[in-house]
Amino acid sequence: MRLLKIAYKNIARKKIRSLLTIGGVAMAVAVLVSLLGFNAGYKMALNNDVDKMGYQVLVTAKGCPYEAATLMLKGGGGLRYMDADVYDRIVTDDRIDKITPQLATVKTIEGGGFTMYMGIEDSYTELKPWATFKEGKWFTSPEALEVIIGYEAAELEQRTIGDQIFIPDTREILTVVGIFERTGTQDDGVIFLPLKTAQKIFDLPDQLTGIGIKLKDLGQLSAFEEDLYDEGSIQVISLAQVKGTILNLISSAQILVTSVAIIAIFVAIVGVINTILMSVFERTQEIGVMKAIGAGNRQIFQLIWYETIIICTMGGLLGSLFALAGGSGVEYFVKRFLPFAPEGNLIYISPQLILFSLLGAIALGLFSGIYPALRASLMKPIEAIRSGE
Amino acid sequence: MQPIIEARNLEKIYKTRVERIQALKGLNFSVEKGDFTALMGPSGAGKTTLLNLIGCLDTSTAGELLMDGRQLDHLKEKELTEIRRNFVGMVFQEFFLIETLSALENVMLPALFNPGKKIQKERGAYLMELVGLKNRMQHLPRELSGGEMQRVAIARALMNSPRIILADEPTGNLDRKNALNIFAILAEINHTEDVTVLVATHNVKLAHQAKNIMYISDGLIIKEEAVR
Repeated sequence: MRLLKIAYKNIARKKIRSLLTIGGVAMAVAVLVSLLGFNAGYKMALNNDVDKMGYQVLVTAKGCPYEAATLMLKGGGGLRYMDADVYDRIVTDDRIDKITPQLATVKTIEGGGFTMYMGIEDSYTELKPWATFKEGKWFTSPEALEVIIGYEAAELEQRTIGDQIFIPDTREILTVVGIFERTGTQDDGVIFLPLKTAQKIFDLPDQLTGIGIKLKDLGQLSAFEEDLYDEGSIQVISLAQVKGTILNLISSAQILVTSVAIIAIFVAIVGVINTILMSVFERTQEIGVMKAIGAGNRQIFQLIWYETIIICTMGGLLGSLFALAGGSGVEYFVKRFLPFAPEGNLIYISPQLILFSLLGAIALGLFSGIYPALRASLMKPIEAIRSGE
Repeated sequence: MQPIIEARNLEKIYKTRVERIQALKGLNFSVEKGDFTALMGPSGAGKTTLLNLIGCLDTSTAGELLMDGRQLDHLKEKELTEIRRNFVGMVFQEFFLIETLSALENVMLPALFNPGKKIQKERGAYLMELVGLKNRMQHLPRELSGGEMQRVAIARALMNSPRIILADEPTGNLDRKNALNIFAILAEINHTEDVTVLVATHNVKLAHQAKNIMYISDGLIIKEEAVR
């Protein structure tokens, strides 16, 4: 028999009260694990999204929203265009490894939402080697009236090879010649067409929205960006900026969830202290008797401390299970508050995170148990025994 | 021979907000090793106060109290705990068993609190047998009768092999048959376990089961009598 066993039996004595307290701790831990899992998962998903853009630098017209998230915020509008001459001037730079021009256009759909059309050239696949075909093939010519559809767009619109699609606000009907494999990026929702075709049917001759660039040496990035600033009509965006901007956009959602987690933890601490303190008061006489038969202050302190640690550890385990089981639900909830949600899972709960949460719960137990344990250990045996009279 | 307990002008005063109660008014007595002494007196005479002082549950206001020659007054809490742990076994009127632990676990509890001693299940089982509860070891307190619970409490008091057993009205909540049985057990352990027994009671017939009787009244020892 050990003190730990006695502590466990004491907790089991008042099952409902103990379960409610464990539940409180579990809720706090579940919120915390979900939040930290979201932080880790969101960054991973965002990194994955941004890395899969395939370029380190994006050149756009000055003032042009450079990112799908911003387009969404603006309801699909606000795109600005630059002359294709810019591309001709940049492409000769020796520091460039790969470069691809793009022309993005957004068309609203009846009933809400919008579809993004992207005019691209052959060089697009050099920057995005993972853009492989699920079905079909590349455009037959640079001016063909053909489209290649991203995986999700094809799924959504139930498109297959050979289908004819009508592009709103134009008089053109294009043929689906390819469907990309899922990439886990925003490209999955885009409809691609040859750059020249896009310029023609959207009536934007010699215009571009962006130029994606990959450098031979990433160390030259700063100098390269500096040089491009000489081009007055453009802006240069590095991927670091893209990530930073998006992370800023979601910071308000993070603050909201962090506040909830902090409140939940505070409530859990108060709950644990209250439960253990009540239990100590109820057992005052018993504690007095334990002292009368030889228990020292330290042993009584240990006994009460064990009780809080058991409650918090059980709460921690249960909370971690809740977080693992309810991750998708939390993800659905959190996504509603996000201005931009990358593709893939937004909540990543690693074994390290579970371990960290358990240690956190134990630390919560250690902290919450100090006061009740001190109260119990410092009781005078005779006064404690008489308390029941 | 040095007495195991010796009191010299022992006083205990309780102060409340409204009054000052002198429970012990300068006691002088001694108990020899191996004695079985009954402490007799009416309610409020000071029996419990005296046992609490000897059991190191409380401290005296004035005078001296010695256990095996060691002065108990002015000891620190840690030293008092040490004495409660190794020298004294307490038995209370209300049994005070831990309701979540089995009878055997209750008996073994003092050993758990004694870091210097290995928890011996065998000794716990032996003591349960000694008090006639060999078949009740795994029962919870609520599954035992009052007499059985008090016998478990006596076994618990013996777990750390104390030098003295202090029993405060151990038969107060029991019927006549169980009361006699408890006194018989106390007499037996006084003999077989070589332990000094000091038991408070106001039952004259039970008190005469002891070797000596000390009469206490109004905070003073008024008479000492050898029974056998």
